[in-house]
Amino acid sequence: MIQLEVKNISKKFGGLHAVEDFSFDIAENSITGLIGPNGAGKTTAFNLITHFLPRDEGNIFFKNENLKNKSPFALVQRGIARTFQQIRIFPELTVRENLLLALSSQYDSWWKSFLKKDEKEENSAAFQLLSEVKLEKYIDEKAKNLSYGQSKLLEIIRTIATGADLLLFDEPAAGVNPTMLMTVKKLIRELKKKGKTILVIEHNMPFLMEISEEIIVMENGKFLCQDTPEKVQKDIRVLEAYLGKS
Amino acid sequence: MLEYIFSLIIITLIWTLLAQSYNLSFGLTGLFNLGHIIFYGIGAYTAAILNTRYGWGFFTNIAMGAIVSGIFAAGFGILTLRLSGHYLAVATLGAAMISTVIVTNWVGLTNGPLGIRGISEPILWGFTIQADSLSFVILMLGIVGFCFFLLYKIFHSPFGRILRAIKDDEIAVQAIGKDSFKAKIWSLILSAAFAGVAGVLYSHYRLFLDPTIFALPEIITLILMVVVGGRGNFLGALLGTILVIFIGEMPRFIGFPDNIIGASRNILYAVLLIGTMFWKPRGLFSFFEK
Repeated sequence: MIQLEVKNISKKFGGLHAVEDFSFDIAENSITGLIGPNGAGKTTAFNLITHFLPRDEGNIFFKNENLKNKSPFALVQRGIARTFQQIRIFPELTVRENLLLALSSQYDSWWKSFLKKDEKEENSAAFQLLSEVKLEKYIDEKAKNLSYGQSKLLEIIRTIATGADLLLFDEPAAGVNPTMLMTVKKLIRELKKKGKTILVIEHNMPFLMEISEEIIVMENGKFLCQDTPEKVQKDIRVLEAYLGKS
Repeated sequence: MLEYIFSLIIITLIWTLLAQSYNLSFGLTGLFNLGHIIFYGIGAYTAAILNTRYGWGFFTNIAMGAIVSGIFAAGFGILTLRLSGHYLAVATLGAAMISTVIVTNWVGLTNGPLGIRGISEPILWGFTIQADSLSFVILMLGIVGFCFFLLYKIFHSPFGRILRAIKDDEIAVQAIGKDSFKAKIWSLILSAAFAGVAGVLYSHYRLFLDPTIFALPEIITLILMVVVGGRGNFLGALLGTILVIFIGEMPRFIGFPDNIIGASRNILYAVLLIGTMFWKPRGLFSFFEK
């Protein structure tokens, strides 16, 4: 069953077509990779899908609902959450607070927040998530004191904590050491087991080819192909996109 | 002498409430709003007008000051909070300037530059509470203390956590499914409501009100209190306010001639602000932060 359907989306920055007539779809409970050379438009496509950038043309359907005119936060509430290429954690908040923000949506209104007694369930969920990426000992540390790789893991589990069904990870393996990379890999596979759908942008090809069931390739803002990792790796168009035409 | 001490305590209490209300929107949420003094002025004028024209009492006026300032803040926020950083600062400073002009020229409502006289003192169970008396100090302590309790709860609630996150990274707040604009509006409304209460307290203490309450030096003093104490730091803003008022009163204690007290106070404020920015940019009381 199709969960995300992207239809002919386009975005222009001045004279530059960052994304042009780009279409693809993603099946529910799958892991899909999005690749392409630098400047192919992958992150712009993420920004368009999550509405952090307004698109010039095209439509996006999630669970058959057209996502027109929805703000980014409303998309998260509907079940689409993302990480960013440049890590966006809350540096002045503790690791626990970073997660509680994503976990305790029932206290978003100030008057409800005023009446809350405790956040036992949320605290225990935060600890559980941190344990999965071995960061539980930093739970009361300010997020700004974490290393780059740890911050990346925190951003990933904070995105998971939103409870979204479709998770978009922008370069989760970049700048992460081999041990942490294993943790990310395991985490993504666990998410699939839990019924989540995952779309990953990544330049680390061995990592992506290992975890993905399908790969979408972009070149110059356009859709190039969508196939299994094995077929994509042998596709002459993909090789030419990365290495140039002979 | 005793009257002077009572007066100093009362003024300090009013300023601590005003500064803490500003700390909610400016310090905790990171809204660089230079028009906060408008909400203080609106609260003060609401009390002055309702009291002198319609005979409304002190306690009703506290509620009305908070409500009117809060409603005004909602409109003000919808118009300005799409902006951020310096753009927000310029827009809100402009609004503060315009509000002074409106209050000065809307003579029918505010009596213009002549101000409003004859505001009554608070009456509690039939007893009039004289300004600069111990009873007035106790009353102020009770009201400001209750407001501080509410503000403390807001600062340390999950909603307060969202506001702190907005100060860190508003885009990331949206990325975890929070309506950051709505949270900012509520931050401004709550902040304005407490500033409105501070304005009501001022009106019923001074018993006279004129447009100078909106003046630029008041905004600068307010920013000074929060920045010196530490933006977003609850205890810091409280201690910062007390420190600024104490330093402001120093020339009088030392025995400076009356004609140079104002100027020397400004010099001391400037030294304090520059010193804080240079040595303790997170505030003199940043060690109280978690």
